[in-house]
Amino acid sequence: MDKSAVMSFFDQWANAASVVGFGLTIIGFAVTLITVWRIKSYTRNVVNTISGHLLAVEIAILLRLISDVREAGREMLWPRAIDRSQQARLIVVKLMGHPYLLQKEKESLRAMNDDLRLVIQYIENERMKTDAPKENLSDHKKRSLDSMVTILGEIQGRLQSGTMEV
Amino acid sequence: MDPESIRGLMMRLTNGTHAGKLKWEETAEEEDFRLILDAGIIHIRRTNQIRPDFGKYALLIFNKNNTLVGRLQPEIDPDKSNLSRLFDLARNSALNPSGLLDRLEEELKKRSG
Repeated sequence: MDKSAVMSFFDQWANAASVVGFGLTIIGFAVTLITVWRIKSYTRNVVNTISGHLLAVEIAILLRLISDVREAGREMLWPRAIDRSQQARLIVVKLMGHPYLLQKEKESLRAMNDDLRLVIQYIENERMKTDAPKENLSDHKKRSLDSMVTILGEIQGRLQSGTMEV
Repeated sequence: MDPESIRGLMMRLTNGTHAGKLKWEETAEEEDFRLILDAGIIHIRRTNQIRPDFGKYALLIFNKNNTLVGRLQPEIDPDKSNLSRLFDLARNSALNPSGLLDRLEEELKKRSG
């Protein structure tokens, strides 16, 4: 093939090839963007699922701790009751702003933090004194702890049904 | 915290609660009610539960980290009577006995036809 035939081929197809090349570039770019978006969305779903599972675990630990406070109250083991309440508070404070919780649940956790503070104060002031009565927590405190268990149970139920939907 | 500012806050709380704009709630402590706001938590409590006439009232202000930042525990009027009024309003707001009666009555009417 001589030089002029090659040049003539280029002259004839150059523009069309450029346009086709440009089109392919646009399509390739779009495909890349869609792939990146799909990977991002998949990653987000995985992270959300893990985050939901971790939250469910924290709620289960919290439930156990609050039940422990009730049990320690029944057995009048006050240092243990305070220890479990403090541990529960630390978890509650950590979870108060969790993005997976509903606004109402976040408010309930804020109230729970406040109530646990009152329970700890009550044990220290009313049950750990030398002349303190040898009896369980007051009925009001017991009701308050029981209501915490109910709230946590409801959150756990919602999280579990959410996990099953996935 | 400046007592004058707490007094001002107490008046705003009284007006807001009276107007039904503020919703108080029960706490783990008897005769203690709480108002949760974004910036902090306010408690109002009566100390003498056996003889409410001789009860002392306290308004406690906690920040977001649950640290006590202000307290008003008046011994004399008019602060004491103002706080006593706020306590009654907060108690009604939290327990809402009349609202409960209305709802119970309504449900009973529905069920019994």
